[in-house]
Amino acid sequence: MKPDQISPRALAVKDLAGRSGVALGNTDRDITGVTIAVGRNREAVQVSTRPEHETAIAKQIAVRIGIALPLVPGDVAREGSLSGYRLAPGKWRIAGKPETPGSLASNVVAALDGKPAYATDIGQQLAIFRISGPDVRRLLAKGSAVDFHPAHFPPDSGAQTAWAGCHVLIDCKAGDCFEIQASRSQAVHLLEALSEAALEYRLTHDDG
Amino acid sequence: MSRPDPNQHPTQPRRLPFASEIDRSTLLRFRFDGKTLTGHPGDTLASALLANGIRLAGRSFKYHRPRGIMGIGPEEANALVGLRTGARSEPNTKATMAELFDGLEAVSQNRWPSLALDVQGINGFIAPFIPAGFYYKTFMSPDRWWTNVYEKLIRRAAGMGIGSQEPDPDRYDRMNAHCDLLVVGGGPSGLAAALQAARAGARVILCEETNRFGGSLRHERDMLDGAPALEWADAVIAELAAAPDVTLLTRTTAFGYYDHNMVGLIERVADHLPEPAHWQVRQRMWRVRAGHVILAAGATERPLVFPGNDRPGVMLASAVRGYINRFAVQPGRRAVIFTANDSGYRTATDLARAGIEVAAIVDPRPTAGPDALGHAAAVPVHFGSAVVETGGHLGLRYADIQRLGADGKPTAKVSRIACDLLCVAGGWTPSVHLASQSGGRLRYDAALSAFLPESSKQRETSVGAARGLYNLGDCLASGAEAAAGALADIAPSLVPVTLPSSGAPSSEAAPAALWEVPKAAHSRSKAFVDHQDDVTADDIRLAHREGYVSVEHLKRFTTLGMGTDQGRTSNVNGLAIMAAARGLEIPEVGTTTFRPPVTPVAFGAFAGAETGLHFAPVRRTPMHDWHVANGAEMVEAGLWMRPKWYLRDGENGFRAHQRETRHVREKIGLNDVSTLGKIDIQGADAADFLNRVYTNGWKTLPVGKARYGLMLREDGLVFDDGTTSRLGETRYLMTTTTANAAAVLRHLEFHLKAVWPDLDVHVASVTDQYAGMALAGPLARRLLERVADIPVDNANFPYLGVREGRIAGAPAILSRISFSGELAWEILTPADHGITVWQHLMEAGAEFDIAPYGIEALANLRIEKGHVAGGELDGRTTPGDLGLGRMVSTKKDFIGRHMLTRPELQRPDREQLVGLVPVDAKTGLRGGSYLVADTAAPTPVGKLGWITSTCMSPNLGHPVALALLKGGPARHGERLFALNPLEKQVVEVRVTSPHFIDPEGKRLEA
Repeated sequence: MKPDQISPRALAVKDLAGRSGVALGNTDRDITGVTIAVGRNREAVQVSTRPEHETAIAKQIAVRIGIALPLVPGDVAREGSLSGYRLAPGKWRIAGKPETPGSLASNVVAALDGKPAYATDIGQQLAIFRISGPDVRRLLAKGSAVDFHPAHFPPDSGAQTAWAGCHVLIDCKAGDCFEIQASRSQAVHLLEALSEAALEYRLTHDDG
Repeated sequence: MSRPDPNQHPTQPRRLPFASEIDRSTLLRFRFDGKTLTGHPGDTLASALLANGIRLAGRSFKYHRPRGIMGIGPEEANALVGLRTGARSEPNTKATMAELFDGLEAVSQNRWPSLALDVQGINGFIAPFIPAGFYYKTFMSPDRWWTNVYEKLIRRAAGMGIGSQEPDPDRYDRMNAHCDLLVVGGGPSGLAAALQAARAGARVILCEETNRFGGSLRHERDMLDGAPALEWADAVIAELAAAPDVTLLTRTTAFGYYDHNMVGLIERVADHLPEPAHWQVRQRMWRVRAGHVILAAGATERPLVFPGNDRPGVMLASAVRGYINRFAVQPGRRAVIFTANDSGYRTATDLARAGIEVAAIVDPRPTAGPDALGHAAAVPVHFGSAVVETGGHLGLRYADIQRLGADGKPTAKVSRIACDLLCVAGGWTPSVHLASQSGGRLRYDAALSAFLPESSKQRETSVGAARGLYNLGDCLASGAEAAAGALADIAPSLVPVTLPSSGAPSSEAAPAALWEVPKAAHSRSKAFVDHQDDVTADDIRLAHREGYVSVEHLKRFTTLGMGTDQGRTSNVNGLAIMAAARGLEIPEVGTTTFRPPVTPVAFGAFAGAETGLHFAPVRRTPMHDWHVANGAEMVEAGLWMRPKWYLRDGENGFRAHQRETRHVREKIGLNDVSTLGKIDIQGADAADFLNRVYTNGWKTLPVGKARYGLMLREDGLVFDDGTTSRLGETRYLMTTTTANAAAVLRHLEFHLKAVWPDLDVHVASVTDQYAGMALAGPLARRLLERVADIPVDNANFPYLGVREGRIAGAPAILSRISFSGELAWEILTPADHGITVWQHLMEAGAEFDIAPYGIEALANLRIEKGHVAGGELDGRTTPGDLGLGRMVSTKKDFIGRHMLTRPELQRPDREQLVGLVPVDAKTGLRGGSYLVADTAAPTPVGKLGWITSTCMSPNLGHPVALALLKGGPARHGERLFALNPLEKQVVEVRVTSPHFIDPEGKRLEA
């Protein structure tokens, strides 16, 4: 099942009803606090090198792919539709839709040819959720101990953390707009958990 | 709810006419023990009961003594009730903490047949025979009676309410929060602290246990700057609510203080409602990580210990003031105040305001301060005296007063005063639970007769009454100063807030440390120390005589300080009485350990949303929906959902997996193996790395080939197995068992980072990147020839070959490997293409009668073949035990090699893998059965081994099993017995090779 084939509302209603006796519906609030949308058409590559080559490889990627990979934990690099995350010393994730011909993975592999670094195509194993709204930081705080206060987690911040038991990468795209990258096999579980946690904020699923 | 008509709710005879926090414009109806009563929004169940003239609220834990409402908050030890009905019924709830709502159902507990007439009240008459700890000595024999008879009887006779047996219908969740300052307690000290911090621009969380901020200001009639103090509190809250970074939490209790300045809060989101809205959780647990914590949890008034101090009508003086001022309730008609400090005198003024006649003030001290005497006004004050006895069956009717002599004992004539309310004030106990949990030290302050926080281990400060400050002005100042100090680092130019004036401080007479009123000659009643657990002063002395002199032992012997109130009103009195018994000072006795939770927390709140199928993340494969749509019964396999079998019309599960097993051996089957762990391994040193990780050699594996590998732990025991394929000169794809995928990745990363950082190797999990499927059966090649764009004949694609090609236009990695023992290929394709490739194989395979098979058939196939899996890879087996000794290289080093040479792991009679067949060729064998040689041997029978995996083999026509047996292969042909005591099954078995089908491997190399 592709993440973008999930019908979030149907799934959430079905599973929540069976589990806790409640179903989705309008809350007493008159504004939407959280909107959840399922991301589509993403590619992703994991780049790995030894820590001592980190700067050189980041430079190589910047020259060949056009994105200056971050060297500081928690920073997110942007270039066009691409985002770069530092997962660990010498380890990055590049995600997005390349604007150049060819797949992101093949471009990165080509960029690293002859360099002491390796690329792994991980685009198929990620599920992407975009969540937004005035209550989105409160929603995120329900599942993760990361401090999501705007002063501590401003736009272009990223964090690897756990949410509902799933390993996720949370990326602040804009003020109240976030992207969650998770394993695709856990997509339904995570969507159910997000949906249930967001019930009190008046939740909308953006199926478009 | 309805609009009230004063003439239509005559059930509130004790409701006073003056303004308070209750909303008289709305009438709420509730039931207590089946009787319909009324109250108003703003009431607690306790205040509503008192307003309705109900003094008898429960029966005590052990003696079933009649008990009334004693306190006004979480300290309540008597009025424990059951709330709601059905799945939401909850026992042992303090009536003082339950907010009233329309339709509330409440029942008293621990009584039969009724609260007023409880037959077990007879326990009071046999009390001398059932002192503390009596059941430890009484119910000694016979042993088996303890669980079958005694425990049940005791639990029925003593105890509290009964919880619901139905599943909890409510939802719970969690919230993580960070702040510069967490303020625990919304009373004057806490408000001052929060205000100071908010004005400094700090991130502040202020939590308050009740439904409104104000703390003691709600219960008293204090003035600040000449206006009611509650007005100042409301103004502060308004300012805090408008501040951008302040979080205000009412109905929220800090229940535990943990390392790294993390404090656990429980927010009762919907407990004040009949039931949560569909979108609402019932309770929410907060995990607050605070830069600094200010503990403004206040103090609890201590009761006095005297004979008859537990009758309904004996109440804490501060609670009486609260019921009058906050709820406009008249708790009695004629009162006596028994106080050991000046604060008790304040009650006289409020009692008079409520129209309650104050018959006397009884004070063991020789005198009181001027303000106190002002409150007493014309009320007769009995200095140097004490209440020595009370009377009344279901409620207080009189109090006996006697002067105390120079030796502290009652002397002279007894004065009997008729009263239905006795307000007791024994001093204040600061709430130091959280300060102690944070690791801070306490010290005993003799002047205040209380333990106070002395030093902090973490970043916390106690303020106000929690620090032993009882003057309102001191409380405000301590809160603001603590906040300023805590924020000095982040707000160095902080401007101190201007605090309102509470007037000139009064001069008070020192409180008396009256821990227990000595019995008068005519005293017959018990003097209770811990009302909730029915622990008396005599029980504490008995514990001392029995040798339980440590406070921790005292607590466990008597149950002092246990229960839902956690000894708020009883601990200090109990410690003091023990100190007196031991002839020690109170500090020498010390306190018991303050453990979280400070207040009862529902298990549901700890579980949060992680219940049912959300207990752990559920993982689904890319073909999940296809399986469900095609008759698969899904089963949890680790975190994954996998098809167990695919049911056809009229089939049960057994028939389905037998059919599928046969089908794979005879034709062709397709199995979803997406769940196998997959790890991308790249780097110049990848082959060397694999050589060190696996027991067998990897340096000679050519590109385009796969090899089965065995991994050991450091201790030499088998960790995991799987195949690894060489996809390029420096690139490998490792597969692991489904269960160990994460553990193997962790294992590899640890060794790369910590043990061999010099290796140029990089690993990445690609488990979810690929959909995986196993195509197995004698017709597998014929199908692949139709669908794959590469040759699959033996010459071009031999056993253990790996090729990249396309199926249905989708890229695929094909590996000729087999878990079933049949001619088979494992196909990996990018996950997005998984369903396309799967459906294409099923459609194209229809010509060959292809059938999907589930994990039960997969298990049958591997058992028939003698391949090991989870049952055999149990963390206790060596390669040799599993018949895989040949895979252990003697020419290289690898993880676990040295420990594998330990004599114990090389012992020749270790349990080794064998096959078993029942001698009668029909009785099914059960996993876990013991293997013995002689069932008639005297017990304990020597165990020769155990069965690890079993199945009914449809291809052999009889049950088979794999087992680990001492001596293993040397026993082939022997007859043994498989014993299963749980199932009372004994089966005679014949030991065989574990390879039941195709031991030569001709099928998979066909």
